[in-house]
Amino acid sequence: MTEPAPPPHPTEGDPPPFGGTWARLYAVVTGWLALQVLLYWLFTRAFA
Amino acid sequence: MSTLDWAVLAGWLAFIVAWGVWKGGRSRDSESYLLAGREMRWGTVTLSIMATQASAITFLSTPGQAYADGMRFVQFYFGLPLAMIVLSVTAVPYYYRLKVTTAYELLEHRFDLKTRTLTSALFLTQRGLAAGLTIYAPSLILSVILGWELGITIAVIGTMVVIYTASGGTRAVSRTHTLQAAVILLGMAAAATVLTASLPDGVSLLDATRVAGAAGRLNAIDASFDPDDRYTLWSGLLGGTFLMLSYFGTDQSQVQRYLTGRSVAESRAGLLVNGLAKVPMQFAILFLGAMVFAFYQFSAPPVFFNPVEAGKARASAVGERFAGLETAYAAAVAERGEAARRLAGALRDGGGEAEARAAYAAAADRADAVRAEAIEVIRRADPDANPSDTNYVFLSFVVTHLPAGLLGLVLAAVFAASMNASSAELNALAATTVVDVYRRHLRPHASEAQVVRVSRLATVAWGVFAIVFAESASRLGSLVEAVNILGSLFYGTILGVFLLAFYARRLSGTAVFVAALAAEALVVACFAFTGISFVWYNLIGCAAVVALAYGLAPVLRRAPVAG
Repeated sequence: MTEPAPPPHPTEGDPPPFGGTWARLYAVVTGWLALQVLLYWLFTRAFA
Repeated sequence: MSTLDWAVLAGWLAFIVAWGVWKGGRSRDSESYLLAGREMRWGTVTLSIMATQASAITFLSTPGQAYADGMRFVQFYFGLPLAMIVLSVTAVPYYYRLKVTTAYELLEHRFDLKTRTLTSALFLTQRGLAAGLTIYAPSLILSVILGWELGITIAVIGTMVVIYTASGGTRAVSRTHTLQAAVILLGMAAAATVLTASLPDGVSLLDATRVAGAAGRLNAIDASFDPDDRYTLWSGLLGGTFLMLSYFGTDQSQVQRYLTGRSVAESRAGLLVNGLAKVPMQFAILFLGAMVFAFYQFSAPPVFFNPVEAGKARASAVGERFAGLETAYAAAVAERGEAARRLAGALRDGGGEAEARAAYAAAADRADAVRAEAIEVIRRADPDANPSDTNYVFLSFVVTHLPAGLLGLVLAAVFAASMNASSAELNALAATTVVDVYRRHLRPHASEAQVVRVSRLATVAWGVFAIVFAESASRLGSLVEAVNILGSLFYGTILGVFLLAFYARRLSGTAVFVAALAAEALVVACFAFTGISFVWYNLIGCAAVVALAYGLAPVLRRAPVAG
């Protein structure tokens, strides 16, 4: 079938259950990953 | 194993089956049975996603990986948080908009029925065989270390999973995942606590950490650009994102987990919390493995952690040679232990560090040389023997050093992890069989009661298939690698089709279908006629689908689609 995509789901624009906004949550996940990479790099350096 | 260990293990297994059956309830319609009525909150979604990905092999092999190769494997997961964000933005709302039960339904809406049928068939083939391996691999390790009968171990794990998964469907799977996760956490915490307490007098956890670091086992980050190195920061961030997108975005065993969320927001939040928690969890498991390594620098490990292969070597014509090497290894590791103590003292107090490092390195080299020789003897005794014993390191430590009761708890955690992954796989296989085959091709007007009944039957049938395949895998060792290759033969093609479904706006179903078939043929040709490693098949298959679909589009043009 080749038809247009259906309209957005009614709950698609809902805010996240915690954290305020989706943009903030995405930033937290990305920032947490960056922080972990930094911490693990320091960990590697400290014990190498 | 003591009576208390048996009681803990048997009690937990009986409880979890009863809990799963009870919490699963009686589903009267397909949405209730296959998607738990779409009523789960984000916490349950997160735990279910994590439990599905972390099979028993995660908890048995990962510490062994750190023991042998250090902690750099953690970088493999760096792409996961990024993939969770991408899927939250793109795939989750798309799936919810279409109110699909399986990921492959989306492909019919976006392209056509034949594309949906092709990808669901590829999934059923790949995941059906993998389900057998999910039961087989931990059963093999448990049977080798504990001396259990392999066939019975496989049958016990498989039967328990089938009982509650068939009875309660997705709700039972999700509810047992949350409880089993707690047992896994407790089991790993117990092992870590005993490990720390088992360090010799005068050696602290920090001392052990320093020795592990000096031996190169705390190499969590490798920022080099060496393409031959499988685990680096860059391969994790780039290749890892790619791999996690395909696994979480197109594999029904994961898609079905987050489609149980009561809203787009709950599903998205479940994925994002997985993105927050997964990397630290893997780091903790790898650190545990590095500490097992440090522990064995001060205490005597066996020359080979797989007791079955070591036993075969002892009983073979080269048994005397092997026994001599075991004695030599015991002397070498005793020397290494002394050197490790001196190194720990030097690293703590700061004096004579260079000499202590050199002495430890020399002692470790001597012990490694004896071990390498012992492995050669094992291979001479049994040419089919696997020279790697990393999968047995952690369980060997657990069985040797954990007190009564806690051993049962850790074994319950291993069973829990195995059952978690298996139940999600059987559940996904049943859903795809019923939604994409039975209700789409065979009985389009089947009643809800019929669909639920057939879903239960499909769960049992796939469970029996997985158990039978696992039993066969024990006799056909090379088949295990063949199944891994088989998975790689299909995954790239499926990912390519989904990428086009999400992002390509002007492609017809026929172009994508023909591209998928041609890409699959290309991957099979790579396998049959070239020496390209199977780890590259995912990338080749995916790239070929995308390139061929765009190349064929002008030839097989149809009405454009708004996506």
